[in-house]
Amino acid sequence: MFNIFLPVADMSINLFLVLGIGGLVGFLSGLFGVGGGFLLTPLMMMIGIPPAVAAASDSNQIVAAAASGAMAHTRLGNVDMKMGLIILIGGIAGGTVGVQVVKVLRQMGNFEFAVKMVYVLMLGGVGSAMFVESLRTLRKKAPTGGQAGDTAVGQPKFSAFFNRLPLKMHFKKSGLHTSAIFPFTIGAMVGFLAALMGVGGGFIMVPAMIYIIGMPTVVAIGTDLFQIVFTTANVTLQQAITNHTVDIVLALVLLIGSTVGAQFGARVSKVLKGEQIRILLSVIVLVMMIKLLFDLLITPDSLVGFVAAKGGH
Amino acid sequence: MTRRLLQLALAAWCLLAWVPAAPAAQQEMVTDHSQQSIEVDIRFHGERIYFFGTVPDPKAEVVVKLVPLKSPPIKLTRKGKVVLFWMGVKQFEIKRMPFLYKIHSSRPLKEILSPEVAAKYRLGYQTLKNDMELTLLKGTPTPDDRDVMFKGFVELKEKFNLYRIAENRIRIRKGRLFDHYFTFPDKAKEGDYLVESYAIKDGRVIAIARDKITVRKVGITAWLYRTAQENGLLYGVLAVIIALGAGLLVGVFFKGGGH
Repeated sequence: MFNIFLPVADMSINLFLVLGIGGLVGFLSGLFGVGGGFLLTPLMMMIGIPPAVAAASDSNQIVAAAASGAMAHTRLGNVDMKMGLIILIGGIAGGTVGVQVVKVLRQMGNFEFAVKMVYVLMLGGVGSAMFVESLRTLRKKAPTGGQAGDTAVGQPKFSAFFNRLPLKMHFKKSGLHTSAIFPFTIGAMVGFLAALMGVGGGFIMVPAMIYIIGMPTVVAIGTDLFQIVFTTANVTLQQAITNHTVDIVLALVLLIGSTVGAQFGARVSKVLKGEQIRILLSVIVLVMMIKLLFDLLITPDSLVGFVAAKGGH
Repeated sequence: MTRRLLQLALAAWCLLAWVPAAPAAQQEMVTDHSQQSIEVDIRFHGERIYFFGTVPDPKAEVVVKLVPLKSPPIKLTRKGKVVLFWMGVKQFEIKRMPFLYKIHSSRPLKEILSPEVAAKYRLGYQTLKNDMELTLLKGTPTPDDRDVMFKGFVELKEKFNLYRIAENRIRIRKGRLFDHYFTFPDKAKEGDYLVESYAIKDGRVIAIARDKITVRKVGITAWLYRTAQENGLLYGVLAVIIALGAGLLVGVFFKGGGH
């Protein structure tokens, strides 16, 4: 009765289930101020959407979800265009390569395995770093040094290193004079992950911009949203051309759900404290990571899997 | 659809009343269905089609098989444990296995069919298994490959309601009229499907009747599906433009948007 047929996933699904998941992820993204793509792809896979369709359609949804935010930040002058463009060049290169890797993995019949493995590694790394750091702040111990993993690292060490690299440029908005090599590299890495995981990658990009490149927080967020719109647009386009896995109906239903959810999330976030929010987010990230890890470790329901047909799904 | 169903039922009963107790030698089977085609649109979530038919001999049993006219070969992986993790370790190509396979019968197949007759008409999983062509594409073969792949394949198909054997599903009224329905699940592919009804007596097939059903996508669902498969560039550009439009629109309605 309340089913909707997804034309590219080529299956029927309960409309309210998809709206609900979109709403939940939107709520969390409104609450935590993150994109939420890293929750969306695994949840879509759990309800039976083929993994490749889940990732590609999430990229499509992120284009929409990030567009208005990017527009607002551009208007407010929070986007470092020069930095954004360099990251974007990397993002487009990484995303394009990523989509080809998706194609190869699907033909090997191991895309699902690969995507879950990458999720376990990324969520595990980011989740534990976030958990440790927010726990430390909650205990009122000032973070000293860079033992908290790959995110919370001191800035000076890196500035000195970047100063020795070639291709130095002046970034007026960020107030930096630094090499373009690192922004390009991180852009390429995140673009690659965006294609593989169906995420925007803000959970890696923003900390990298703040802690490693040394950009001001507001400019980092604005610039990240700006580059996400174009990076995910490129991934969407490439997925449609190479893997035929973008389900626009699924993306639009998710967008509706997440938009409504985000409104509630933003309201609740005003009640909670910053550190409480971060520790809650890290717990959600770690729970998702453990669920995916179990999927890889326990004997699967079926010992047989389908392999993507050439060019199709 | 209900009205069509009633008409059919009525027609079938009239047929029964008209035909005077047919001599066993005539052995003709007449069948009909409630719908010729299934249209897959945005609200499609599977559909039932009702089938009716006459039984040529009061002592005959009925078996009905639903298969697509064409079933291209497909590739499958066999999962195995690598260090700690389960992943695809071998790849196979499977031929001669129908994409969709459903059997309904008036009595258990084993009780009414000899193995030879079952094999000839491909009735029952065992006959499919005997017929299956399995080619190893990647990996090392092991003796249990055939069993594991067949079992896993059928289980996956059954999970999506694409394979099903339902014995005793068909009712025969007064030894002359049978009726039942097949569910075409949401994952039924586009194309022509063949419904073969067999009248079986003393282990032999005494009559066969055939119905053809067509599944096709219509409307926006058909257009999106075909464009996505055949013109990825156009589809991709469209997906990006629609997403940008929707995102900005949402941003106007709800300040801050969905991000």
